[in-house]
Amino acid sequence: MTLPSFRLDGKVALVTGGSKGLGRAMALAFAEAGADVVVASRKAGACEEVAADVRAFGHRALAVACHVGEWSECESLVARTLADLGRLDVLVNNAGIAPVPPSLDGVSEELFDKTIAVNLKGPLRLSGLAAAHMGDGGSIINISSVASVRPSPHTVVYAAAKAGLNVLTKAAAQELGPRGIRVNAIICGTFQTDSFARSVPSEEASRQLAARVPLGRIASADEIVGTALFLASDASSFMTGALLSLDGGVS
Amino acid sequence: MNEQVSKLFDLSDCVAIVTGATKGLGRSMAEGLAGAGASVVVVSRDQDACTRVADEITASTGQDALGVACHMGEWDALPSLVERVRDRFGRIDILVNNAGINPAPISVIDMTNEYLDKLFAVNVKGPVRLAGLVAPVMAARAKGSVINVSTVGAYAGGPNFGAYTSAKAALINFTKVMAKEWASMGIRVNAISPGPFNSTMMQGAAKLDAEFSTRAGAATMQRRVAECDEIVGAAVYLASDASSFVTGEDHVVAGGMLRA
Repeated sequence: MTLPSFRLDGKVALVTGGSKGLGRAMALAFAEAGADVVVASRKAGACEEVAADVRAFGHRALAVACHVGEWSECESLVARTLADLGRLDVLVNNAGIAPVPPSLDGVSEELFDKTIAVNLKGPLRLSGLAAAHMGDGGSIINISSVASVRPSPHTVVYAAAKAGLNVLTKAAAQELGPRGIRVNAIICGTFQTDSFARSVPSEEASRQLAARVPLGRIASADEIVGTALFLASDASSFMTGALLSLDGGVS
Repeated sequence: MNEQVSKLFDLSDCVAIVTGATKGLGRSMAEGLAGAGASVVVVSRDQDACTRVADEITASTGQDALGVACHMGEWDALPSLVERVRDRFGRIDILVNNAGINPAPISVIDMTNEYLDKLFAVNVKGPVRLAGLVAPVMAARAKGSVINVSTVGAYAGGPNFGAYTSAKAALINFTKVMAKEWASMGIRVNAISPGPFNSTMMQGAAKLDAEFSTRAGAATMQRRVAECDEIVGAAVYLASDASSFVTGEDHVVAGGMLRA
């Protein structure tokens, strides 16, 4: 039998929001697994730092400043990827924002539009652009949130956007399945990242959150790596349209 | 492979029990776990087949493999299986509850007491009892991974296969229960729900209905039936530290076959 390979040798992976947190962890893991990596985020300098770490693994890297909420910037991101690295095999729609509105009627039009643009519009456009250049074995991974299935009042816009991302995952999987391109989502629970530290500043609040997780803890950013490699590689060749919870047993 | 990433999926020193492991998906998973470094216990009803497959796995992977005959429908036979594994290996890290039966189709109207009892004995009671016996052994090392093999049919319900698909749905619910009961013991419990694979069970269905396989493949987003080896990635992922924050989750490996 052929043992499954979680390797990505010879492939090119593009990670949005790739300069920190979960995105950075995935970008570096993909490099370790053999891929050339495109690191995209709004901050060019931060992308360049991660790109340098990717190159330290002996692989090519490209840092691209990109606001995924802008249709035209998605186009130039994919165009630069193809121009510089020649192909695109794995797309991780990881960039996301979760601004907290004070109440339902306190949601400003700007907050709504911005949240939908980054969490849903960008992934849809990038999926379409990327898939056009992917061949058999291509993999798109959408980073969703437990909020998409368990919303709360303060996550209302973010949760709706991520629920939209879940649906995008299933719809895109249907369209791209016959072409051998798989589309899956990871529904993330609570991870120890910079944005988590900003939104949950006290240790007591952090402990309370951990107590609600059956595994009794908050995940480290690196714990997304196994799921990302599984879905990016041929090890999951018969999985598509799946929404995989990575949440310590919450859902 | 680079040290850190390869270690994530490494099962060296681990001991895995795989039921229904002499053919089809079970055999692929047993060999795949051994390929990732685990010693494996090959379980099915037929001792000769278990021994032969264990020998074949040792030959192809170099890992220790033990064949143990056991009928998953016999509640009282399961403790001796676990004892045998403990005596031989001293630990159990991974349990793959793969054994299952899906006999000839029968409508709900025609279903008998005996039929339902047999289906639930092998597909639900056996896996639940075995997991319940293995969990304390895993807990002694504060680490373990249980993988229950269900079916994508558990979501949609299969006409004339109601006993099978509802038993497998029960197994998914038990997966979530076990995950919550055992999380504090360091044990993760997940399910894999296969769709159409070119498995022994699929070949059985094809004998009754020649078009079954073609229709099933056409119903997936990937428009095909999978080879048994394509289940292995999910099994190694869930057995290993690569899924350290994943528990209580069903993994539908069905080429995107719609759930309902």
